[in-house]
Amino acid sequence: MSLDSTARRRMILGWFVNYMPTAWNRPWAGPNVTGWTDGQFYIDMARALERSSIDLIMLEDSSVVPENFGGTMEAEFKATVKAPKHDPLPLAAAIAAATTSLGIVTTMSTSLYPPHRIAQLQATLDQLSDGRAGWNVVTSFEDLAARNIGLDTLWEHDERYARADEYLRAVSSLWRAGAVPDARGRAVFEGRSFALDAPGTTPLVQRRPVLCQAGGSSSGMDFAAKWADLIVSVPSGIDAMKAYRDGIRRRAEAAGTDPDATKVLYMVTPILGESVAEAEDKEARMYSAEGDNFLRRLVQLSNIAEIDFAEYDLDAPIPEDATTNGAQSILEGMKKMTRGSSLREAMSGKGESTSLRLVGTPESVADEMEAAIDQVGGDGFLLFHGGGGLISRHYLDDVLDGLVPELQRRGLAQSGYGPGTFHDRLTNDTLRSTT
Amino acid sequence: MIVAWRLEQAPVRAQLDLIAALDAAGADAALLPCESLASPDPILIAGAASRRAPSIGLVPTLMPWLQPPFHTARALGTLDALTSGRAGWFVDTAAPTFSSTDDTDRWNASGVTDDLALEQAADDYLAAVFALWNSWEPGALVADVARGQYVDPAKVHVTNHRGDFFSVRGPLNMPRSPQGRPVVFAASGSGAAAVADVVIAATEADVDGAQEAGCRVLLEVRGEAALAPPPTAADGYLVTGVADGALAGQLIHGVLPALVEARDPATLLRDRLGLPEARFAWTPGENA
Ligand SMILES: Cc1cc2nc3c(=O)[nH]c(=O)nc-3n(C[C@H](O)[C@H](O)[C@H](O)COP(=O)(O)O)c2cc1C
Repeated sequence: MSLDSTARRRMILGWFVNYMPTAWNRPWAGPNVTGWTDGQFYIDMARALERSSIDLIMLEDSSVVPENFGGTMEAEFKATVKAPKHDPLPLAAAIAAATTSLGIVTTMSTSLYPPHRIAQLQATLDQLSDGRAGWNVVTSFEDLAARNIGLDTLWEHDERYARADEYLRAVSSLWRAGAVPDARGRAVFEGRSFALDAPGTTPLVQRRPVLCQAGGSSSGMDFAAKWADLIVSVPSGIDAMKAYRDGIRRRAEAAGTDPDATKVLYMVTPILGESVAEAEDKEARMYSAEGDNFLRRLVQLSNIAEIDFAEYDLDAPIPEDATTNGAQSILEGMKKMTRGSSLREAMSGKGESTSLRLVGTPESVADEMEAAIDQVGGDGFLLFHGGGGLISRHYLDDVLDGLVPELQRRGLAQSGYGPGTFHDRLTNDTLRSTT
Repeated sequence: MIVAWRLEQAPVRAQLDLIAALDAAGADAALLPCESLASPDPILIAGAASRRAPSIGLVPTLMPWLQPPFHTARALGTLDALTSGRAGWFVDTAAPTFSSTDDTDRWNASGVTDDLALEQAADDYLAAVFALWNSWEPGALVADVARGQYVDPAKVHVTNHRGDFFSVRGPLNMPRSPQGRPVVFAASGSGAAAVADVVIAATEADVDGAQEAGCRVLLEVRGEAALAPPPTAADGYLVTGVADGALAGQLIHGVLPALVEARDPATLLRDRLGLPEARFAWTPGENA
């Protein structure tokens, strides 16, 4: 535990959050359960993350009110997993103005926005944040979202990634054309799916925003390894985490890029107490089958897989022949989880999918995080307590005042920011300390 | 008098500083430019200004050709929430100066030079955006903790806008914004003026005609002419064409104080401009 901090790489810490209702029907909901809409909770949160030297905030996005569970919006409006939600981009701009060092990653879909628009918005965020913009590149999977932009359906899974690859080349051409000092040119791009003849964007501070990606499938991982600076993932357990990271690094090497330039984060929801027993008790209450958690989990699963789980037998495994045009990797994982048990069993006692169950004191949880990163080889964690309706200041304090200082004391997490842009800091493996 | 100011295209820092100065001087609204795709996005500049400039109306300029109506309705609705009801939209219907196409068969403005087609497309775009803004009734956000119901599903409506140019299913995934919808600004004579809340008249001769439509009218005063604004029948002025820092300072410190009216800083932009409440209008028959 007294390892020289320069002998190992630091742990990168990010926080994934949704511009959605904060906790509203659970303890520590605060005085105003509709106050989240003005964004101030999330601006305050970003400042708190920055005080704790967290590397980045990542804002989720989707654009539908799901009707997957039971065929109407009704269950969604009880569970608040995906809706209501605001556009993360204007909030990201307000966060940029309220912070100085925190990386700001916004999610935007290559299937839903035209390329010139993402190019312009990301370039603007990079300027407003003075080089701290990141883009979580997603391809979306909801057909309802397609119908919001004049299409009937989205493309098939692998085709979405093929299009995304061309999309990134198109967007890059607009950023490159904007980077030429004094003589900003036009970008002309002719691809299989996209064609552009447009002026380059306002110049970025970084060469391009930090590119973030979360591909879990084979085509998704190929895409991520080729383009991403930062990968966020939820492989379950240390072996799967290691296999995932090794898979990404192998792909990066095969594509001729430096595997150390791509950082992999694993999503976790630490539950902390003054004693392990207290934390376990908290976990049991948070995820109790009696509360709204069961409905929430079912609605969420329906949303992710775009399958109406209201039609399945809750006391049986997910049928092996269930298919989706959505997140295949997640559906396959759920099949495995319910094999020999049932949907109800698989979803009781647990929250969102996470890479590690982290329940205990700051010290015991830090032990587990440290051991996991040592075994996996890197690179950090993505903290998360969402989607909608779960996050509270109380939870933020548990992690930022309890767990993070313990990680900093051990020299595992930075306690100050390195110099340069978001990308510079992300690839800077040495530990920063203000002491 | 209403006092609004249209910023010239400038780097983001300069725009943010000017917005803050206008806010401090008591101006009612800042119209934020977006000349082309090479300009920084004005919705994000407005978002970044939202705390430093806590009372002025923030009115991004956006062309309908930039993105599908859903994204525009959502981004401006969020800006209205983020500013606690100070968002507007200057609808710019000038022909696009870029081309960006894909392999879908959706209508695309790229290469369209026919003015009539562009005007009809802009009308359809506005109809789609307005329909989305009305997909949530006032009071849909019930946050009923005892019943475990955050939103009343009976008050959220599938939009199903099917126009000649744009179609969008909806609903928006966000609640109705503080002003019901952002305040819509347009130039007098543009197609968008028909649905605008605030019309910009280029000359005094345009003021009368615009006023008949029952909206607020601002007379444009350009550059040095703003130092001595002419008497007008309009509801106020829109200062434009001030690129020079010294002139801007002279106007903000010397001219604006005599024109602006003292207002409660927590006012909705709509109230500040003396506009009626945004009507909730959703007719199931029309949308089915
Ligand atoms: C941590 C994490 C965050 C994600 N955030 C979003 C998001 O905000 N919006 C979205 O549409 N998809 C999001 N996804 C989905 C991924 O983009 C991706 O589709 C998913 O991991 C499945 O991988 P695949 O696309 O390779 O099948 C996220 C996934 C993970 C693991």
